[in-house]
Amino acid sequence: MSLDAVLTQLLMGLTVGVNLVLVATGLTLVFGMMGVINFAHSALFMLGAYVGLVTATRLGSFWLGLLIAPAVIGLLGAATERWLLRPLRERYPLSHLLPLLLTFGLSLFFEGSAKVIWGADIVSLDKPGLLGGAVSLGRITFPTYWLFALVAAAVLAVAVWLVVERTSLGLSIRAATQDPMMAAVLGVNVQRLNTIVFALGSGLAAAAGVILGTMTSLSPQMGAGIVLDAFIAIVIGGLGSFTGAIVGSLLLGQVQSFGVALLPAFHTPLVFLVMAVVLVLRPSGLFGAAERR
Amino acid sequence: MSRLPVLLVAAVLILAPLGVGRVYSAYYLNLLTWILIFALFAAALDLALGYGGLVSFGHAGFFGAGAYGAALALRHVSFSLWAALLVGIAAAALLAIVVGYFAVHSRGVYMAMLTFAFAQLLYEVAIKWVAVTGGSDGLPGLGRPRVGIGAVALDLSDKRQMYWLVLAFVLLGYALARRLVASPFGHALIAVRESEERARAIGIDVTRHRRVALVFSGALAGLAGALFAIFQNFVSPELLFFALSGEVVVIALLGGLGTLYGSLVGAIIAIGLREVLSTYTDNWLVLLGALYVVCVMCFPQGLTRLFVRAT
Repeated sequence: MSLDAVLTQLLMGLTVGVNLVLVATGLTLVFGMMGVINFAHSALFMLGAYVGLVTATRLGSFWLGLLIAPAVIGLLGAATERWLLRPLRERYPLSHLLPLLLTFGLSLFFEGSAKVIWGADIVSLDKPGLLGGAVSLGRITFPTYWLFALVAAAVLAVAVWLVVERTSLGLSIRAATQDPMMAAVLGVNVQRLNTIVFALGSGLAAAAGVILGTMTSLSPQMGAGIVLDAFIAIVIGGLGSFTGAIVGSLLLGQVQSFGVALLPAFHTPLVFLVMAVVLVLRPSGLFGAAERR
Repeated sequence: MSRLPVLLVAAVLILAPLGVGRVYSAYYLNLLTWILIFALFAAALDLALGYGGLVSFGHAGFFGAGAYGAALALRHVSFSLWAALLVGIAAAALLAIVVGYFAVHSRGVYMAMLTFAFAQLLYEVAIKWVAVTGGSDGLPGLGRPRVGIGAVALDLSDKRQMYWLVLAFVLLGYALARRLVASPFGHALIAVRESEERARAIGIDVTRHRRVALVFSGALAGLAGALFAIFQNFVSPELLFFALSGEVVVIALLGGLGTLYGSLVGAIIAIGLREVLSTYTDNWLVLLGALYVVCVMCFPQGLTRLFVRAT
C-alpha cells in the first residue's frame, strides 16, 4: 500500500470509528448503569434514520432532520426506560435475561412498525447539496460527506465525553455505573438518571442513524450490522466502560477499514478473531473491571 | 412435573399425524416437526443456561455443526441415518469441548460474546470453504437415507413417518436431559449455578462441571441440528448464524429456564405463532414483538412456570 492509500484507509477507519462511538456510547452506558444489553438499540438507530428522512423531506432541510430525529428517538428511549424497563427492574432486580428478552421483543416491534409505516424497500436520504463531491486534503482527496460524517460524529462524541467526564451529571453517571446503591445513598436520583442515560444513548444512536443512513441507504434491518460492530467494540473495550467504548470503537474502525483493504475476503472473521483473542487474554475486555457483574 | 401431563402431551404428539388430511393439512405436521426439533434445541440450551448458568449466545454453532456433520456424513461417509446422527452429534460435542476450553472461564455477557464469536467464525468458515460446505448456497438435496431392519423400513419422504422419526429422537433427547439433571452430576451443576464459591467449598470441581455441561448441551443441540438437516434435506450457513442463537435463547426464555419442558411451550409460541401469524398478516413482526413484550411484563418467569416448579 502506498502512503496515500494508508492515509485514506486511516481516515475512513476513523470515520467509521467515531460513528461507532456514537452507537456504542448508549450501549455501554446503559449496560454499565442498568446491567441491560439493549437489543433494541439497532432499532432505535434505524428509527432515527427514518425520522431524519421524513423530517428532512417534509421540511426540506437535512439539518432539521439531523436535529429533530435524535430528539424524537431520545423521547422514545426515555419512555421505553420509564414504562417498561423500570417496572421490570423493580420487580426482578437481579435478572439480566429478562431485559434482554424485553428489548429483543421491542426491536421486532420497532422493525415491524418501520415496515408497516415506511415499507420494507430500501430508500435513500438525499445528501445536502454542499456536502457532495470531494475535498482535497493535502496528499489525498476524500468524499466531502465522509469528512462531514467524521467531523459531525467527532464533535458529538467529544461533547458526550465532556458531559461524562466534566459535568456534575457525568459525575453522577460515573458514580452510578460503579455502584448504583452507593450513588443512591449519596443522594443521586438513580432512577431518573437511568431514564436520562437511556434517552441520551437512544438520541446518539439516532444521530448516527441519520449520518450513516445518508452515507448508505435506509431499510428496516439497517441497524443490525452497525450495532453488532458497536457491541463487539464495547466488548473489546470492556462492557460498561465509556473509555473502553471509545478505544474499542476506534480500534474496530481501523480493523475494518484495513481489513477490507488488505484482506477483502476475510475482514468479517477478522473482527471476531480480534474480539476472541482479546477476550481469551483479558476475559473482561481492555478496560473492564474483572468479574464486575 | 407429575407423570400424567407428560404422558398426555407425549400421547397427543404421537397421535398428531393421524389428523393430517382430516383435521389439518400436512403443512401443520411439517410445522410441528420443525417445532419439535427446536424444542429439543432449546432444551439443550436450557441444560447449559438454565441448569448450569452458562450464558451461551453461540448455540447455533452446535446446531449447525450437527447439521453440517450429518450432511457431510451422508455425502461422504455412509448414506445412513445412524452415520448422519452419530457424526453430527460427535461434531457438535467436539466443538463444545473446544469452545468450553476457552469460554467456561468467562462469565455472563463475556461468555455470551465468546461463544458468539466461535459460532460466527464457524459461520464464516461455512460461507468461505465452498469446496466442502457449498458456501452460501449450502448443501441441497441430501437425500433420504433408508431407516429400518430387513424389509421393514421407514419412508422418510412421507411427512408422517419423518415426523415420527423426529419425535422418537426428540423424546429420547428429552429423556436423556431429564436423567442428566436428576443425576448427581445435575445436582452438582445446579449447585455451581447457585453459588460457585459454595460449590467449590464442598469439593465440586466448578470448571469441570461447567465444561461437561457444555459438552452435553452441545451434543444435544448437535442431535437437533442433525435431525433438522435430515428433515429439511438441506443445510445452509443460516443454521450457524447468530440470529438462530438468539432465537433459541428467546424460545428457552419464553418457556421458562430450568424446566426443560418450557422449551416446547416456547417453541410453539416463537415458531408456531410466527408461521401462523405470517400466513394471515404482513404485519406479523409487530404482533410478535408486542407479544414478546407482553410475555416479559406479565409472565417473566416463563410461561411454563405457571404450571411447573423449576429446579
